[in-house]
Amino acid sequence: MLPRRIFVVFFTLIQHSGIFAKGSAPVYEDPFDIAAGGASLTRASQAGMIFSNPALIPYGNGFHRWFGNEATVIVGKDSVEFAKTLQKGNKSSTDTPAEKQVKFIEQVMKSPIHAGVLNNFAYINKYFGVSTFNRGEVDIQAKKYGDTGLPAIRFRAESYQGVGVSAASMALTQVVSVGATAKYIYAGEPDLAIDLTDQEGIKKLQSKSGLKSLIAMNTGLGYDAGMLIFLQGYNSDYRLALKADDVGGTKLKGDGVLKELKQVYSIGLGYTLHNGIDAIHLSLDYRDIRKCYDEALFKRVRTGVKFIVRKHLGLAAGYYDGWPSYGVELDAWIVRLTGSYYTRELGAKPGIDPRKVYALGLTTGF
Amino acid sequence: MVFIMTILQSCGTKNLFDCDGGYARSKCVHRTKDEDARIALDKGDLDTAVTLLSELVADDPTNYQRYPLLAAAYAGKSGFDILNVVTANFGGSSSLIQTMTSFLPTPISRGALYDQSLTDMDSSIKTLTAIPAELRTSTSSDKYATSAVLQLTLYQAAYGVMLLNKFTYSTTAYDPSQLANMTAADAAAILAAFAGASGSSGAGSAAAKAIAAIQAQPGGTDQEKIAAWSQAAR
Repeated sequence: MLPRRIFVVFFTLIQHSGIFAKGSAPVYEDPFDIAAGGASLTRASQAGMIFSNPALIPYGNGFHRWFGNEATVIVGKDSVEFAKTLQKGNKSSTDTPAEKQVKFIEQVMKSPIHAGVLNNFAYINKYFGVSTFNRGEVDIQAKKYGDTGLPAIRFRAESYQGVGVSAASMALTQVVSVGATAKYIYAGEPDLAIDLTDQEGIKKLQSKSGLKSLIAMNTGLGYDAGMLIFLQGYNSDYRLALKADDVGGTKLKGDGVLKELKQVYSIGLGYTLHNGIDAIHLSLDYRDIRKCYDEALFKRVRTGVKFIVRKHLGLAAGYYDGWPSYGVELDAWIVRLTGSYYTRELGAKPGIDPRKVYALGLTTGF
Repeated sequence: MVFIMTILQSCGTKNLFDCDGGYARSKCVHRTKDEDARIALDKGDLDTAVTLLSELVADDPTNYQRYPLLAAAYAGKSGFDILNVVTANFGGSSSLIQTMTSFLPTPISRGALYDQSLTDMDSSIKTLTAIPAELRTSTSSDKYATSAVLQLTLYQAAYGVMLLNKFTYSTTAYDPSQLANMTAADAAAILAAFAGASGSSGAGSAAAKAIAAIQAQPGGTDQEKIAAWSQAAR
């Protein structure tokens, strides 16, 4: 009864199986920064500074900058649609159980499951910043026509945890700042695609060693360095940022497949119009100038705008992974609520494997 | 303002760099024909998938990895839904005809397009048999080879049943009186399809049983035996 067995294996895989593949993006990005296109080299939110560009730290008012926690939940738009479909149910349908089963599978095929969480806990002052971070995203996609024409399932996940410690200082009066981040990373990027006829893959999943290698995490210590040239005017500022991620390459040790984070050079431009209370910040990042990750241009060019109204309402829009992104942030002193909508392109080219996601964040701190 | 308007103009439906996006001023990242075929399959645009994959196979006929994909696209175009096979029970008390007819296209469901369904399923089989037999083995470590074996079993069994159903259904109802129109060539094609599908897997085993049952039927010709089996098996 091959088909029955296939059916069971097919859905067993959903429970067991695991990449997005590390690219030029920082190991941790603030969702509101992503909503502004992810162009965060010249302006980043709180803990985002530590990982986006530590040279941003010295700019601001007073000695104390931030102490707090941020928690964000990420849900794929397709996953939400799928959940709605399940909620509606199929009670009034006259379909046979087999037809219902097929319709359910078809719905699963149409709706990749994408979800994740982001957390950070950070303290930042004028010269120094430290942040723990946790970023985990899972993507499960079933296809009616896999690479060999038969139904297939792909499980991808990325998990990054660690600590970043930054130190930064101004040089040449207030025009130039330099900063560096040391980061301890605990990371894994399992990626598994299984076709119905892939007996080797199925055996691997069913073995302890196979599962262990799939979920194995690697660890490593890496360093980032950043520089910011900041020309401040009465109503307008100009910023030029240079950043080197993973200086010398960050080597990761362990049984996982992710062995190195490559050294990446990036450049960012920013322009801010402000009146002391409201501000519009336009930014453009060109990441991985030397194409170390061999990513297409749409993944390396990030651009967007943040509009801060009365210091308490933030609106963001931009282009992230080549797709439009939007966000809103309400800052009620010690509590901040953030909602972002953006698209992650999991394919190497536009339109191949996009995931539209909602990110809802709650930040507490001061 | 120009910046914001540019963003809003796209309404989140197109990638700025998408070749199909129509943003002629942005640099286009070209997809390969393989990638376009892949996207067409994912969208269920089987006509486009067949066209693109056929061109790719014609351009590089020794790249056999594309054959099972093209065969699957042809089969999908014929109305064969692989997900129905996943949930079908070939080992139960139902006959091959009953099991497969429950989800295969029929003259009733396809109407005048039924002959096209048969042609597409036949193209699917021909695509798979174009892979050299020595490369088409279930023990191969190449995923495309094992997929080709399983697909060929399913499509040949399906083709046999679909061809038989051409003579047992009108476009409105079950009508076995048309079995009298079955030619010797039609009967030979049905038997060849079942023979090609025969094997140890669920559908393969059901096809082997079908051949044995046909041979056991009374009648002097293959047409008569198939007609008798067809009516007994429903």
